[in-house]
Amino acid sequence: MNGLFRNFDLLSVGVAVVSTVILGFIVFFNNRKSITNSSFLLFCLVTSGWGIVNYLNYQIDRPEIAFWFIRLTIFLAIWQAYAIFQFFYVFPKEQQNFSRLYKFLFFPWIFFTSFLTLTPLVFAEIAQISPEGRIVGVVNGPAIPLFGLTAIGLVVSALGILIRKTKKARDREKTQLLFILIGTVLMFALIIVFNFLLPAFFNNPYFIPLGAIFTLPFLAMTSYAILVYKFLNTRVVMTEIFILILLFISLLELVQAKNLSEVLIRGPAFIGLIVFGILLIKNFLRETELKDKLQIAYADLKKLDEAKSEFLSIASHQLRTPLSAIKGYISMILEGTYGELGEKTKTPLKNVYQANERLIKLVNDLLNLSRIEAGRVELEMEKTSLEEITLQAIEILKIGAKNKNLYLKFEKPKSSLPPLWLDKQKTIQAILNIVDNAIRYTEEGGVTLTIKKEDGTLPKVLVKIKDTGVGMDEEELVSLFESFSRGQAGSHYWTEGIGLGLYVAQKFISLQKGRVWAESEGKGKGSTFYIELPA
Amino acid sequence: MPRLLIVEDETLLAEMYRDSFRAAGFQVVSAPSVEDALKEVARKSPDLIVLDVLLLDENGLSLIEKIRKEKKDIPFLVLSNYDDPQTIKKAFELGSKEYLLKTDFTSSELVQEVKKYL
Repeated sequence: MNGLFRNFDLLSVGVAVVSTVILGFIVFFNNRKSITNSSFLLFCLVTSGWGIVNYLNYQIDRPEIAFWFIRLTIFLAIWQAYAIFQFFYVFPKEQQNFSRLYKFLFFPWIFFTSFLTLTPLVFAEIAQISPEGRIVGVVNGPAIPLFGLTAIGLVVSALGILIRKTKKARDREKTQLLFILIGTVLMFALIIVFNFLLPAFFNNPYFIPLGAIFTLPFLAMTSYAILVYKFLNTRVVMTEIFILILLFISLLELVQAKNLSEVLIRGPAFIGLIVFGILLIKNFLRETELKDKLQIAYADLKKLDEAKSEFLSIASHQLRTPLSAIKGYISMILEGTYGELGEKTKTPLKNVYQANERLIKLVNDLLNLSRIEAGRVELEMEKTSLEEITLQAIEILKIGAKNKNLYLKFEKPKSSLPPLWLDKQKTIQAILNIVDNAIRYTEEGGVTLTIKKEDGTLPKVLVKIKDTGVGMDEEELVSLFESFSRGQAGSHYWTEGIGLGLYVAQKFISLQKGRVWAESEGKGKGSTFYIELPA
Repeated sequence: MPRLLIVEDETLLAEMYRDSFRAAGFQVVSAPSVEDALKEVARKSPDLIVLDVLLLDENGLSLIEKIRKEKKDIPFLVLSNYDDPQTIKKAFELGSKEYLLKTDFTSSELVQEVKKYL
């Protein structure tokens, strides 16, 4: 217990330094390309170095070595002031073009001043040593005002930039800057009170070695400001807390080491834990970044998908509009709405009408194909009589069959079928496409439709469409339901079609958990198409 | 004589439907936009509205929403080439008697469909 309290300042500085390094790397790995994040890491690393050196210079018994540590402390103090200045200067940009003045005058000035702190020009020599062997006073060199002005100038300028940016900022950026401003004020308040007022006016220098702890409010607030608006990942936060707890325990063990061999074991373990913690958090951050990118990509794809669907509907509307006008006007002319039409004129007009109907079918088929391939077909399921649907299809096609002197028969089932749960429009379309196809490829005889119910473990209804047409060989049966497939007979019997009817029919039925297939005994022996639907 | 309001922005189609329905004995007025259609409805309520969806100013179904807000229960059917499933669903939810595709009907077939609802 006594050892614990004696080493408490080492423990607290150790935890502060390690937390500072981890926070710096977390922010840096969040976006390695950002100048803001890089500047924050620079500040964290310099502050950690300053915290370690500041603590050590009060632990060293030999004054001449301690004096060098004091010089190192103010050397790092210049870089710390510069790092905070640069951080506020670039925040919250990802890229920054530094002016020539910055690169070739300002930065070399910082470099020069920091170099001076390592010479007798700033702290010339030790002025006074306490009975315990601690340095209690130093002789200032001629360059001490330069050091003071540079350090204070950097800090005051940094604060000025921060306050100006906070006033000008809006919304999210303003909130981020407010967090940073509060953290900065807390940090400087603690440093002024514990590192200046207490030693200077109350003769209490005890808290000076704990300087690293006073930067924690600024670091925590700034990390939160940078990270919380990029991502908020509970898993990362919990992992960070877990790593910090492990580090605290490991550091506790290290400071309580009784001999060199324990230090040699626990030291590397502690360092290893730091490296492991940084790598683990880095991996989580990368995972989160990927997840964010995936979510953005998914949202973009969804928008694209919706835009595609709207495009299909609008394109079909635009294509169909002139076709509607042609269909409407020609039908009115043929019906005599605009006066009696000569017989000679009727035939060519009917041909134009038929050509227009082909175009309308082509547009409908292409639209169906686009929707099927885009996965945009929606089913409107309702209780429907399959017999009624079949009769509707026959009614539409009977004129076409009659024109070819073919019969088109529907042999009704002996007992009536129960209503089925179907998409009426798509089922009619499928039957129409198959029967129409049968009529196209039949020269003599005709097409017969039958429906029967098939009992079994899963009751089904089977629609059979049998024609006395040209028939198919095995090879044609294989590719029959592919899009744009017309078989060998297609080019001879039906030059109008583009081979989408059967493909669309099969898709519409399979969407309703049904099946479509065809059988034929060969060329010249007709074909039978089957539509199977769940009952 | 039943009064029809045809809301159609394509001039060619509007004229064709006017000729067709007048030849069938209807009194026909037409409007190319929702705004003009509302003016016609305010002037004299039609017996049936035949409505396209993609119009000059806004979606044709917004005409029905506005008419319903004024508590007028005028029957309507949609006659359009825009077959977006969501729009079709919304039309029936608003009380459309039918959603007809223009390319599916000749003029006389269209007249027969409309007569069912008068």
